[in-house]
Amino acid sequence: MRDCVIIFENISKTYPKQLGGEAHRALKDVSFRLQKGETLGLIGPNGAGKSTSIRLLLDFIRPDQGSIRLLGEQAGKPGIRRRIGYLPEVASFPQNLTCMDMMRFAGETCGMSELDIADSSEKWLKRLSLWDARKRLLHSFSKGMQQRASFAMALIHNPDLLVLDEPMSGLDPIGRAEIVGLMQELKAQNISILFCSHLLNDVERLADKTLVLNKGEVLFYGDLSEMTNHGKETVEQAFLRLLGGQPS
Amino acid sequence: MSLRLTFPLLLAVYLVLFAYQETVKQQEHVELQPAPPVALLKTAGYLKQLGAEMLYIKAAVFLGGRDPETPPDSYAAVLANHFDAMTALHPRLLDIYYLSESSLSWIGAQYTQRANAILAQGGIYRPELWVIPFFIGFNQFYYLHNFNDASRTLRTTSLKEGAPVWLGHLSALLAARGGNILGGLAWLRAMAATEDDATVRTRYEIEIKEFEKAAHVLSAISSYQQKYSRPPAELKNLVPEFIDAIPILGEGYELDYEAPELYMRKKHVG
Amino acid sequence: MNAMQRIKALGRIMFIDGMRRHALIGLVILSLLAEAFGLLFMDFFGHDVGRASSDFLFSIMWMAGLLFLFFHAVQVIAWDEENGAIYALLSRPISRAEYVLGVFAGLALLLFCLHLLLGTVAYGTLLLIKQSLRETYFPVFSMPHFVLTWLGIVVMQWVLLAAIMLFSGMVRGGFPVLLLTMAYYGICSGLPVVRASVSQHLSPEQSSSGLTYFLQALTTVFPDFSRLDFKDSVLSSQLLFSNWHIAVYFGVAGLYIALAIVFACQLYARRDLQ
Repeated sequence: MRDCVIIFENISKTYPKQLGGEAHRALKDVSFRLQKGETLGLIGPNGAGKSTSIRLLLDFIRPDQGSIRLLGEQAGKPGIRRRIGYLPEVASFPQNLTCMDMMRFAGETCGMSELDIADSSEKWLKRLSLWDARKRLLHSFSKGMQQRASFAMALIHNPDLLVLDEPMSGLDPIGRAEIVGLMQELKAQNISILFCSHLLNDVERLADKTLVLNKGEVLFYGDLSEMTNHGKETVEQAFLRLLGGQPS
Repeated sequence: MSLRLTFPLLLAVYLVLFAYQETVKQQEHVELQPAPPVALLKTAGYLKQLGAEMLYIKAAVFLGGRDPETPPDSYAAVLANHFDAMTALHPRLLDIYYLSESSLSWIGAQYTQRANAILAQGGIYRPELWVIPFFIGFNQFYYLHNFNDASRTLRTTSLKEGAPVWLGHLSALLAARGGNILGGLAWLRAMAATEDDATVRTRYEIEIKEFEKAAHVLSAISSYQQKYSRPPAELKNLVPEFIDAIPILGEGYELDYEAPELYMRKKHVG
Repeated sequence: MNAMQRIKALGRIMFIDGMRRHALIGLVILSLLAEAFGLLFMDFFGHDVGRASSDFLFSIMWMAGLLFLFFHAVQVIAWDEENGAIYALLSRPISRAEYVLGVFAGLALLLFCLHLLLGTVAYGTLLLIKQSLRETYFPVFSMPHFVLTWLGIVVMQWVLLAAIMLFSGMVRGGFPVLLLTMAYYGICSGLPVVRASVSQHLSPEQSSSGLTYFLQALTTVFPDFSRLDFKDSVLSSQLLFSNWHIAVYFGVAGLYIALAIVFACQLYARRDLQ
């Protein structure tokens, strides 16, 4: 328990009925844990509940049942996010800000000094090949550049836990390789990572454990080696097998 | 027809029609459209003063642009409504009162009274100014021939800071014209007693002498009435029992008797 | 690290974002041109030139502020939610309440800067007009009263901004917030007229009727903006209200802003981000 950075217990979430629509059960009694230094890959088809799980972790939405603890604290406390870095699925920023404006904002909200912000911004923007573009407006960035800028903001305050929603989204193969390399470096630094991805090859390379969701329910949670039958299957084969067992 | 020709052709037709429309519009009778209801205008909130100024400009542009032959009765009611709306929205704007005085008060007794009601608003909100109550007094005298009311108004006005000294004198004149000769005399005496300028004081004293002559005739009429329980039919009936002779007044004054009232008329005042 | 620093950080990016928006830059330019037009507007008036010019310039400031509120401020939170920027912002250690306060602070500062610029130009324009006329047409121009009137506009529009924050916490989407804000502004403008009309039609015995109290109670929710309208004092050497009354009016407005913002923070804290 002491080494658990995420304790996600018995979480259920239903989105209320909208005008002309129906109520949608996004998660049903989902539980998982992430240990310190571990990397958890969250996979599932579209609408499985992956993004809902991430939003619940960051207190963007509240669960109907269950509890979430992050780094030993209740998920709803804003202060805990000082130790968390988040990469949204679609990188979005207020329209007319430069990369440095957002980096400064990210650092200031985490209580970093001006000097630390400057040093950390330089470090991460150079690492992500954005240093030369730091004074450009973010809306002039390409999709890939925006994704990398968002990653830099997630890392500026040296978080203990990274929550990444589709980190390879919008990246070309070179960009993807860069991000995979970066994630491996961070993993080596004992930073806990939870990420969701449709790219099962990346899950195979990076994850220690996987959580497979479908229609809001857990199909599998455990070590990656267990899921793939100790290497007898690829992640993709195991994933399709798990899905095949589900009623359509 | 190719697209290249269509645009210049359409443009030419448009310009010709537009020129014709302008000619037609210039021949049209210019009308002043009614102002929106005051309650609606007041919902403009912070902008209500600007609304009043827009109405003022609208009225001023209409008055400046209308055909001089336009009968005033055709627009007076709408114009008066505009001024009512302006004073409801922005009673401190001085130009409203100047414009209403110049454009409304002369149209007829009904509109003179409307103008005075509008000016009364100005008197409440701009009490430091003498010109607004002067307009009221002038209207009462010149258009409404209500000399006593005019006298009272101008007397009060003459006490305001910056008011010209002749207002008090005019007030006394109008009091006498309205039959309140004794009131006019008292006012002249009060002004003479407080006047520092010797030339003006001399002028007052000359006028006071004429007023005293008229007051003497008044006294004779009163005595006649006491004795005969009715006023004399003519002034000459007072002679010689109650007065030696009917005085001839100087300084352009003449006595006008319509039993039982005695008026002291200054010839050029009317 | 305290809440004020986080609010300041968020307010700063809201302010910078607003300063770089072409629409707002256009609004500033348009307003400055309109104020310059005040030099022509005065030509329509033959006597009370100072008053007409002053009314015109303050009205331009008011309208510029309304345009800012109705076409920018109502959409800020909605934009963040619709384009997903809200996730980037709230993934930082910022509470929902700090987010609302930060957005309010940034927008309030933008509004203040807009009015500071327009107020400075208006003051210069009025000085220019006064110097070009004989004293009869513009006898008194009081700088303290000008500043008081300017402050009245700023505070009134901060009240509107606080209401916008409240509506943004209540509903999703820029358009519904705009509709609510326009309805709110309409009621605030119309309620004093209704109250005046009702009091004129009631006899003195009826003046304490339920309707009167009901309308008075409504005014606590839909404030009467005319209480901070000091335009008529600008050309007067004396204030039309006592200092104490003025202090009370500003105090009530300040408390209203605080109440609306606190309520907005509470509403937004309970909301799921869709």
